[in-house]
Amino acid sequence: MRGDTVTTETKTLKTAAALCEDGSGRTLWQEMRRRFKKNRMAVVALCVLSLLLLISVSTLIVDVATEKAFYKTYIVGQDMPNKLKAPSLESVRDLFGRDEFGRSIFFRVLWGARYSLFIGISTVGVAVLAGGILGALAGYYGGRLDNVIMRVMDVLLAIPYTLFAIAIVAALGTSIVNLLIAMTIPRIPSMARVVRAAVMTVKDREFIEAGRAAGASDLRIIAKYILPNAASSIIVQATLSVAQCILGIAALSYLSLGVKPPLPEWGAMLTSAKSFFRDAWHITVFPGLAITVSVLSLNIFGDGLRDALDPKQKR
Amino acid sequence: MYRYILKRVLLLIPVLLSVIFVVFFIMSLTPTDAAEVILGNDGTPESLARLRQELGLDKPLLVQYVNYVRNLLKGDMGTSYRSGLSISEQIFDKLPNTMILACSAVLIAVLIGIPAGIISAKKQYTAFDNTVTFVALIGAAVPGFWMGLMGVLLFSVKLGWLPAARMGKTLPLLLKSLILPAFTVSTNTCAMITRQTRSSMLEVIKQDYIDTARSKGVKESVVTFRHMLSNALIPIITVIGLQIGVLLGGSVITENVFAWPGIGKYVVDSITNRDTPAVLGCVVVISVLFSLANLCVDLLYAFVDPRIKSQYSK
Repeated sequence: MRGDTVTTETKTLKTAAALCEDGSGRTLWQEMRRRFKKNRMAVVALCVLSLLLLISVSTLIVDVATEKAFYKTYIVGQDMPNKLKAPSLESVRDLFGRDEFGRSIFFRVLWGARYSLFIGISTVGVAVLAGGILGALAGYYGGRLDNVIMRVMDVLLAIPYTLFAIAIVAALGTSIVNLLIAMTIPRIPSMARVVRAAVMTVKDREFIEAGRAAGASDLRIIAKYILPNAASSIIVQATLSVAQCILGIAALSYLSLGVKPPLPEWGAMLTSAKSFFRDAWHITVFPGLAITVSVLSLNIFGDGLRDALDPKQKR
Repeated sequence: MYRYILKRVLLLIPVLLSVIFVVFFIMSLTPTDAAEVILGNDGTPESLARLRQELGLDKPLLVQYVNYVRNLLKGDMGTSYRSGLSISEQIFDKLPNTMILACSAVLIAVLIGIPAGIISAKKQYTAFDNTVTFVALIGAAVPGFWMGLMGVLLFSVKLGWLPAARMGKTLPLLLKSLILPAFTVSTNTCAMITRQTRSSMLEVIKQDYIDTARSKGVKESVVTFRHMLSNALIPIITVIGLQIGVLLGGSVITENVFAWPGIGKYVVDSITNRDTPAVLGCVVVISVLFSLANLCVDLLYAFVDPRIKSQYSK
């Protein structure tokens, strides 16, 4: 199992390094961009992701600009006369229909983007940082330190991810901060593994040796020479992790262990869906579609990145 | 071969002890302790202190942990705060239901995923291949619980073919009630297995020895299974192994969607009731199961991967 990831990462790095030396004069990143643009699906996915980011940011701006007036009336404010109203094209507010409290599902889906995206990205960000430091130390120094760090990571990996997150929320209580902690900690070990593998493949190369001969400190060697070379595999892993995180956030919120109603988180919007099946299918369909589209785009984008960084790898 | 198996089994012991410690430590972070939950609002400082002493909560964490493991080996996970029932009995009551769900999900995923992946790879870039690839891509992105909800919406509410929740009592009813949850749990796993099977089949399909086998006049079915699949199997098994954790996590959520009386439903109910020892017991049991499943996968490698086989063949 372990060997497999290591070889994949090794391949990524080797071909990535080879690209710079193929005489085309393009840098690795230019080469990658060129290759990425050829993958039409991945470009579409990137557009969807940019749109999601745009939605998240602009809804935040609306909140700030209207001092949450819009949020209070349309996102959490109830409109009981219109409850469970079916979707219609008459007004933007009714595009996806209304939920059991008469709130616009379309608006709530838009406003919910921020939870998935921001919690997902910040979670993975912290996990990359923590896992990166641990993995870099383990990979660079090797020996006993490597053994200790990686055995601890193995233990953390022996607890199924979702259950691990559920246990943390159960112990700390339900809140957005605790959800962040619960999503982050179980992510660290797999990140540490990826970074360790990447570091190990470059640490014995000549340019590292050269850096050391020039008197660079270990910290400088890791930060300046090793990590940039390991970046491609970390970025790919991080992108795919954000997708997993979004699924995790939605699942936990669905179980009422994450973001709580009335906040418009996509998973939380589905919690009560089962009670209204008979009268209103639209309550269930749209938030779930939003989750699927985001995760799908991230997966396609991540795969596209991987292919762009490593064209020789068959998929 | 036996040495390899023995080594893997022995390695499991420290891992399991550490896993239990991690879970134990996490659960000890709960801001309200057992004594406060049991006594509720009627607790005076004296009675709280007395109860803590009785439960051993005044001892250092490590001592509590050792006591817990000692009891665990005897099959005792303490009693539930809420119902006062033995937690181990509760868990072993519900464990078979979770196993039925998880095992049928693995079965579905393997039975659909591997053939789909094989055909897809053999007919690369045909309409079939494109459809499978597309469906697998979506299957890997759909949240399991939403899949379940959509299944209920279509098959229970609209068509009325399958029950929306709860486990059937007799065998035919059980099977009928199993269909939706099992497919729900298996969605992501099935997608991952399909993708892995397809890509590792594509790796071997172009190898020279496949042409050799064909030109020798070996039947196509033998080429597919003996020459291609057996060589493509290792990464597929890796993915199945990695997916078991996803699957166990997925069944926790799916059980709650379908009110399936397994450990997953029990753990979430226990969290709602702030029943810490029950949550601890559930997480420990599922993590142990996960480690055992990983062990099985590792052992399976030994049978499939000639490199490991030769290492220990003396």
